[in-house]
Order: sequence, then C-alpha cells, then structure tokens
Amino acid sequence: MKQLLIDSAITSIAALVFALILIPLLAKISGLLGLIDKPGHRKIHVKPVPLVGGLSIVLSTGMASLLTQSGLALFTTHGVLVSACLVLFAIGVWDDRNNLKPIYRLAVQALCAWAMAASGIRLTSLYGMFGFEGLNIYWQYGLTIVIITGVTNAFNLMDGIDGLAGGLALINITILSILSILLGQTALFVLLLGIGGALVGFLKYNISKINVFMGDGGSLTLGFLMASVGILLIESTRVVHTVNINYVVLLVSTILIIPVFDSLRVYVSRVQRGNSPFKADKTHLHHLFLIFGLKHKWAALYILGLEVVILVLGFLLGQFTTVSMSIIAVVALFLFVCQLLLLNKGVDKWKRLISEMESTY
Amino acid sequence: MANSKKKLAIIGTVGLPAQYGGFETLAHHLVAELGSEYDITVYCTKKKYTKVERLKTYLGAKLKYLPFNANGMQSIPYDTLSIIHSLFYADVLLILGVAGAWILPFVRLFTNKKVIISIDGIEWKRDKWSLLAKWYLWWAEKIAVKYSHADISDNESIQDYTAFRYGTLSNIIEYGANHIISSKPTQQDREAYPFLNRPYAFKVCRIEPENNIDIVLNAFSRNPKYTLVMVGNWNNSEYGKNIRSKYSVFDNLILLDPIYNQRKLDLLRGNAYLYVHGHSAGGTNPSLVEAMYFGLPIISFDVSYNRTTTENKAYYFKNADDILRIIEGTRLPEFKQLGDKMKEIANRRYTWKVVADKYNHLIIGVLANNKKLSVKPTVSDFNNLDYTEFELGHLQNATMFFERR
Repeated sequence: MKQLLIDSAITSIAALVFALILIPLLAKISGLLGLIDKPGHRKIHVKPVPLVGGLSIVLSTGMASLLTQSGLALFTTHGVLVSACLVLFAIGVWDDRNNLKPIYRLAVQALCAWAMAASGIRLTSLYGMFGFEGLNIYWQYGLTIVIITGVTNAFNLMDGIDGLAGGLALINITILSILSILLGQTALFVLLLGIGGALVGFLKYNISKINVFMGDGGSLTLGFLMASVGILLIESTRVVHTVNINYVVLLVSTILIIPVFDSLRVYVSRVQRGNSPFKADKTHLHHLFLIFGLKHKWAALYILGLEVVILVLGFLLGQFTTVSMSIIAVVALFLFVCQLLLLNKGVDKWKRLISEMESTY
Repeated sequence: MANSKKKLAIIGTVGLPAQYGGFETLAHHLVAELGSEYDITVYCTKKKYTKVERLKTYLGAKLKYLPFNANGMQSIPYDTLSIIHSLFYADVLLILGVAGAWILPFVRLFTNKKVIISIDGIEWKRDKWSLLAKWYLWWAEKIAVKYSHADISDNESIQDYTAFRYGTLSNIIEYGANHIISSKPTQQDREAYPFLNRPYAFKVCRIEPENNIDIVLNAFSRNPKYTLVMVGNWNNSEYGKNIRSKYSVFDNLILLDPIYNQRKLDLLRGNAYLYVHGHSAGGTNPSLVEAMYFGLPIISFDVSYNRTTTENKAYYFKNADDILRIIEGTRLPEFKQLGDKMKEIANRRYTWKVVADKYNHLIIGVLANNKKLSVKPTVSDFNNLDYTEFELGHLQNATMFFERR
C-alpha cells in the first residue's frame, strides 16, 4: 500500500512536470505538427491556438507511468484499455490535423468500444437500476458500446471554453481515482493520478495567456477513458466488496450527467426544430452561460460548480432513496437549470430584437 | 325575464378610489363608463387603503380587498388570488399586468370564463427588475398571450412585437386624458410658483434612467434663456438625489418634488409653453397623452412608442443637442401649431369615452367568440396546397404589417 502511494505520487508529480515542460515546447512547433485551431464560424476564440494539449497529456502520462513499477504494470494489466485509448487518441489527432469525416471517427470509436467490451470491460447487469438486473450477451455488448461511444462524444462536445473540459476531467478523474483505490484497482489508481497531474499542468496553460487547447485528441481520449474506467469500476464490485455497488453506480453516473444530458438535450431540441442533430448551433451549456456576459473562465467555473453540486446532491440523495431515483432527481434538476438558461437566452434574443424594433418606425 | 348584466372582474390594480397610476385611473373610468353595462367588481389592496378608507362599493362597482401589495413580488399572489376568487362569479376577467398569468392555463382548462389580459409595456425588458423577475415576467407574458381570449397592447409598436413574437393580433387600447383639469393660475399660484410668470418647459416623470432625465437637464442647462420645470420623485433613489444636486446650481432648472394634488399638477403642466417627454419604454405613456390633451407642443424622446402615440407629428430628440436645436430654432407660433395638432390627436384618440368603448367592444367580442386572430393570413397556410405548382408562392410570403424595410 505504501509503495502504491509513493508510486502514484511520483507518477502524478512527474506527469505534472512533464506537462509543464512539454506544452510550451509543443506549442512552439504546433505549426510544424499541423496542430493549430484556427478560429471559425461558431468557434468562440479569435486567434489561432495550438492544439497540443491532448498530445502533451498523453505523452506526459505515458512517460510518467514508465517511471514506477505500478505504472509499468498498467501496460500488462490494462493493455487493451491503454491501446484503445492510444488508437482513439491517434484518430483524434488526425481529426485535429486534417478534419476527418465524422463517420470515420465514429467507426473507430465504436471499434475501440467493442474492443473494451470484448476484453471484459462491459456492463453485465444494470444492478437494479430502473428495475433491470442481468443482461444477455447482446445487450451487454450493445449497451457498453453505446455508453462508451456516447460518453466519448458527449465529452468531446464539452470542450467549448477554456478550462471546461480540463476541469470536468479533473473532477471526474478525482472521483474515479478515489473509487479505484477503494476497490483495489491499483494500476488504475496510478494511471488516473498520472493523468490528473498532466491535466493540472495542461490547465495551467489552458487558462493562461499562452493558450492551448486539448483538441479532439485530448477530449476523445479522456471521454473514452472515463467511460471505460467507470464501467470497469462498476463491474469490479462483483468481486470486491469494499464499496457498496450502489455508491459506485451513483458516483460514476453523476459525474457523467452534465456531458451526456447536455448533448442529449441539444440533439433532441435540434430534431424538434426539424434539423439534423449534428447541425451546429450555439445551444450547448457553455454557450448558454456566456449569454450572461460572463468571462469564459467564470462560465467554466460555474459549470464546474454545477458538476460538484450534482455530485454532492446525488450522493446525499442516495442515502435516502434508491440509486435510480437519485439519478432521476439530479437529471431533472440539471434539465431544469438548462431550461432556465434557455429562457434567459430567449430574453436576451428578444431584448435585442425589441431594441431594433424600437428604433425603426 | 330578468336580463342580468354580465359580471366583469377587474384584477391587478392597486384599487379604487384611484390614488395614482395609469391602471388605477383606467379602472376608475371603466367603472364610471361601463358600470351600467356590466356588474363590475374591482380588486384592491388592503396595504394602500386604511380601514376607514376601504369602501364596499365605488361608483356602483363592488370592491374586494386582499392583504397583499399590488406591485412588486406580492403582485403574484395578489393577482393569482384575485383571479381564483373571481372565477366563482365573473363572466369576464379583465387582468391588468401579467403577474398572475401562470394560472391562466388552468383557468382555460377547467373553466369557461373569458380572460382579457393587458400586458402593460413589455415589463420584462425594464432595468428596474432583477434578473429573476425579468425571467418570470418574460415567461409570464408568453403564457398571458397564449392563454387569454384577448390581449391588450396600449401601443401599436407593442402590437407589432406581439405579432412578431406570438403570431397573434393584439388589441390596441390606449389611455384617456380628459380627466385633467385645465385652469389658469391665480395670484396665489403665481406667488407660490414664480416661474408661472414667464414661459417655461415642463416635464413630469419618475426619476429613473430610462426616462432620459440626464439628457433633458443637460440640454436646458446649456442655455439659461429657457426655463425647465421638472417634477419627480428625486429623493427616492441615489440616482435621483445625485442628479438633483448636480443640476440644482442652474437657475433656469426648477426641480420640484412630487405633486399629488391633481389640480396643482395640472395647473403647472397646462400653463407651460412646451412639454418634454423623455420616456424610452412602457408603450403609450399616460403622461404623454395627458400633455397632448392639454394642447401642449411636445418634444419627445425618439422611440417607436412615442412616435406612434404622437402620430409622428411631434418633435423628437435622441440627445441633448437635438433638444437644444429644437428649442432654440423653433418659434412660438410653430410651437402653438404643434400644440393644436397634438390636441387634435388627443381629442380623437385619448378620451375615456373612446377607451371605454373599445373595452366594451372587446368584452362583447370575447363573450361571443373563442378564437384569437392569427397574424398570418389563412391563405398562406393551407397544408394540402402545393403553392409553387400553382404559381401561388407569393401567398406564402406575405409581408407582415410589423415588418419594416
């Protein structure tokens, strides 16, 4: 145990240091790498920004994990997970460079998700959620692939303002790492702490003047990782009983509520309007917060705050009622907040329209 | 067979006898003019009438009292409870203001009472409200328009807005002004208010930034030849106190506290040579139509509402320079002509007889008919018609009355 803690501390700090060094270096050569995010139609930033965050996080974490025994163990105990993440990372970076057709990206995500399911990381039961228990093999594969792909994409969509994706990932990884160590998943614990360290390094640059983005490479990988680790942890409660399964399910679900339900909400509203769910518009959570005229960092902070509230509230509700009810309650709360924000969007839009009408006659 | 009158409930005003305020004066005149047509009940607030002041009836209308303030946050329970209470006896509900609108879907669902609602002057936009209040009012306005049998805008520009946003036709009913008292100053008056002895411009309003007080005071401060008398609640806010102390150094600016005596206020208003109207919001402002009824020439802030109230015939300003240019460049005969034009409009549109008639027609209409008129012409909306095939595409693209090129 003591060795584990030392190893994870080393990995974490090493990853942080590597990230702090790597990011400015990579940023300088981002042009050569072809990893620059040029401002465009519905993007919020105005200057070209290096898309090296994802690369730095992966490299830093990778190098840091090579430094310790527990870290090296990662590549053997969770070989499939690591490889799948790297594949996804590769496709993400390719997308950052050359703008891949979305369908190819989706195909690779589904493939990686299938690989996870095949390797054993798949949801074998719904553990009483909404009344469902065991699943047959087709449902196991299908649900796992849908969940992992969905969360990966949802998290990708969250990367809209500085500090948001990184901050959410950091909070989620913290929760997942706590669960990991409680459930005896030592290799995962080291990995997550490593990523955490790299994320802190990344965030420092993400919200500073030397702006860098994590790009699709970063957000896809992180989303995929969080979903897979979440499922792994839930499934591990079959063997290890140090933590009540309900808590694991509850926590894993609540950390994913914001990305998943924000994306679902946006898809549904687009379809309701008669458009394709992938049609670009400015209705994601961060867009809605920006309407208040907040500076980007404050908008990100408010959303992170909302995530923490949802986490805490979900956990507290779980003490009094079932997991399903807690999740439903918290999702309802989130959707209500979104409705208020959408209402505010309407007020803002009509205020401007009316000002125009008032000065023409 | 007894032909019983229809029962009308007037909801959302502070109450009667009218103390101040556009809605209250409106309620007074509706009761006075329509009391013979309808059996009217008016809801009032206990907070503004002491026990002795609370009458049971007024000009033939019944009065009911509630222990809430009619304005501010308490307007929500005030209006809501009035609505619920009136459902037990009224045929038509005339609701002034959207605070209680949230309950209208239920009223429409469970009862067949007719609902007429006045949405005031796009309240949610005004800076005096907190963010939460704005959200509630914006949403309440939508509910009000969607679930009422008829909605009332007090200005054509607001009718444009509701047509644009909701696709339905609002009813334009303004305010009357012929309750003002026209009089000439007596010797006592001249002693109390020395400025009555020379020409002066006049403005009366709440001291709020949206009424452009600063622009008006700034303009007059730049030319001491022209006197301005402004009546308002200066001491009600920091803004008011600051602005008053800033401009009190100028001799030609006379800044008076609120005057609640109708005769006295009308005396000062009516004998000015020019009326300055700075409101930038709120639809048709009662103070403007009253000034027009006095036959005063008007310089008004240039916004769509004021233009429609004055039928585009007054002088308009966007900043202090505009005001100065107008007062320095216009001679008395031109001003007198403008005043006559304003009086003509007021005589035609802004009397309580005209207003009460419009309300009466609206109530009759609402009792007879259930559907609200849509703004889009029926011909543009046939589902089974292939417009382009029959070369009728132009019918789908009719220009709406509220669209400007």
